[in-house]
Amino acid sequence: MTRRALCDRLGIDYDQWQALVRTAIKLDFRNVGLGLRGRRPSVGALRMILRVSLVYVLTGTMLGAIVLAAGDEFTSGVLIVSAAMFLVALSVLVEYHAVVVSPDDHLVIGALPVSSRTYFAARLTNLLFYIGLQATAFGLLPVLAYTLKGGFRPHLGLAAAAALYLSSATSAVAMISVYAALLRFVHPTRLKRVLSYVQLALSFVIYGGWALLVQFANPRSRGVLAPIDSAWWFLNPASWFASYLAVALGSLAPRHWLSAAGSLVLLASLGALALRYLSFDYSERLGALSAAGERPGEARARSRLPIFRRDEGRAVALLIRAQFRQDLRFRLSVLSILPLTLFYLFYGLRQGPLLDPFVHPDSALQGWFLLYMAVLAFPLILIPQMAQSDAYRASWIFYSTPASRPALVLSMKDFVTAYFVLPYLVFVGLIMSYFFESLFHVILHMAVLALVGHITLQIAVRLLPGLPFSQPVQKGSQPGRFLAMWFVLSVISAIILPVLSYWIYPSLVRSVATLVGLGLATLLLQRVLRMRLERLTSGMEFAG
Amino acid sequence: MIQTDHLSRSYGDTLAVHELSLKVERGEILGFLGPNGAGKSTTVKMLTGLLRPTGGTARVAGFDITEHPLEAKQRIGYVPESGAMYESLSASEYLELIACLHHLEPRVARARADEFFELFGLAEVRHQRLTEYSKGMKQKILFASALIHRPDVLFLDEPLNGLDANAALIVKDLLRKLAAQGKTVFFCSHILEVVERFCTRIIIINHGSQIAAGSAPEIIRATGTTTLEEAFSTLTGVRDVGALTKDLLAALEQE
Repeated sequence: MTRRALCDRLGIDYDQWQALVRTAIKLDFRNVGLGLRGRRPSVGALRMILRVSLVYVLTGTMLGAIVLAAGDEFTSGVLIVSAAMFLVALSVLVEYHAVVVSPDDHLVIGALPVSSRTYFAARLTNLLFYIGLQATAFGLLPVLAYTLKGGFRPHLGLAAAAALYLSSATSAVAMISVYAALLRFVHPTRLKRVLSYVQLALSFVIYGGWALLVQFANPRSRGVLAPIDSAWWFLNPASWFASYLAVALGSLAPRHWLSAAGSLVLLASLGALALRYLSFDYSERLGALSAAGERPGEARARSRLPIFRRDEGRAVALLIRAQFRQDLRFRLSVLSILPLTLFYLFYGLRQGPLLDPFVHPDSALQGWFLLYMAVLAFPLILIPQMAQSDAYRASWIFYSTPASRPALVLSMKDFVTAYFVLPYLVFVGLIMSYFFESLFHVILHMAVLALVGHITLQIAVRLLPGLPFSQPVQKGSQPGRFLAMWFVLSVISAIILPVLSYWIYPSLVRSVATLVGLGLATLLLQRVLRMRLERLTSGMEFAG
Repeated sequence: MIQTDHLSRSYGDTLAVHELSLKVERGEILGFLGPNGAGKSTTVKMLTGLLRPTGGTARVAGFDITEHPLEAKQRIGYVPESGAMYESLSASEYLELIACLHHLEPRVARARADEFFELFGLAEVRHQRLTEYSKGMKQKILFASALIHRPDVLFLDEPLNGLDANAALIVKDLLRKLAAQGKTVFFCSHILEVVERFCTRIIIINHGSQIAAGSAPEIIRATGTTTLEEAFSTLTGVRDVGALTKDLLAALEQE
């Protein structure tokens, strides 16, 4: 069946679909790299694609090694497909939800004779294009490993590729169906609020699902990739797709055949569900959503933003808060990250009581390690997100007023410190004060973590300087950045925490000296950063 | 060509457009006026299918915009006030996209795009991205995109925004000729002099409801004023502009 005939059958206008998809991809690639003087957008796009692909390829390399090491293809398949589904769900959660719920496109083509179904199909294709790229970069080496492991077995490679692509598509469509259902059934004026709750819930489901999987595959409990023999594993849809590998290897077990068939039924059902939700009056819903944003807001009391009382700091604080309230994309991105903190807390609690690192040096290797790592991770994820926005054209204000650009960038960092890092540390500190043997230990440990977190932020701002909400959104960059930071921070945390616990904390003198040293380092860095930002930001140009 | 019957749109408790009934005939150029927030853009968005009415009906080019949106949209051209367009595309790519969405033959689309590029003096820069265009140049492309499929009805929301005097002359002349050919023009603007001279009939709305209708001389006569500007101020509630500006200047001087 030709693509045109298939489109006709689905009620999609083929010519319009093709034009919209082509345009969307062109726009995404051209939007990259705007705002930096002298950089051609196409060069920026290429760099961005290479950088993101590299992270996925590196992740795929580790999984490829697991394929080679594992004795059982089905077992390694479950792990790899689960990882692929998790990454896709994460991508949609932190980034691609806007494909469905953003009304921006509607302002341009809402008055043109494009049916809701065609419009949605184009948006979905755009999403699947990126998911396909992601799956290709991620799955390249695992597929190669399956093909070459134990001799040349192309049928196994093909089965692995099919499992990866179809599971990624299923994960994406499942997530899209949730957003589509909301758009269909929730009144536009309440959508922002409801979406926020759902975003939090989805974050818990996705991170929790991943943790559950890691827990089951925990080497300490089961041995490294012990063959999956329990029927319980088939509750995980990833195992349905991994069954392709078992089938390709000649398995006649009914559970493999049935679950492989089930995966196809699942994908088809989710696709039909999403189409049903979105095709009927999708455009009208988007129109209503954009209009809902035009409603006069409720009168608010004078904004209280302690710390940020004047000048650039005040301006940036007001802007970030307003964007969080009004910009759906930014709000959902932030909300997709925050629950990770609570999840780590829960994960840590499952490992046993939080041990005082001053008394128990081996506490650095506990499950609480992740809780500390979050101090470094969240700000690093938030900073680049705050530089991007669909409303980037409004950033002319930074270029046409006498505002100091370094001060604007540094204010963004200060806002993250004041409203994310410090409250988080206070929260963690309260938990610690319950477990630790001395309040002094809590205060000292928190102070050290706060300074390390601040230095990390300063480095992040140096590496990714950007004026607030001044660059177009770059599709596909967030999950890759997320993964890259995770790797880097895992290594940094794995070094810092044992050094603190085994060498610094046992001595009061070394502890105080470290605290003073970190304080001086962050002050020095601040001066250096301001000077560097003078130069870096002078090269910035308005991207609109 | 355009007919609304008790057309309404509310946002929660706020009524943006309230039971608006109007009729615009073929070949007419209707000036649609109102102060900021009167409901002009909301009305246009409903008539172009961007927003769904919460009450009443609207027919455009013979089709109910809610029941048969695609049929109506095939026959309308729209220049939005927001100037929203995909600015990372070049001008020729943007017109190609619009032509594809209207199912124009590529050959025909190219020929018509060329005509517009020549008319507006943009032939040399047609392959430049719209981000590099000035506001006026973008407005010309929006015009071209509204006309490329030869629509029967044109909705123009502040269409002269950013245009230089020469381009504005070309656009006005073009619109007059299109009206003479039987096309209907729905013209929203705050430039009252242009509306007074250019439109065959005027409707003024305030707080979502129609408060005056007729030709410019008829409205001026009915309000007992001498210009459309004065008539507009009288009808929409600003009576002593001089006193208001005097107070403002005094406040500024005190600063």
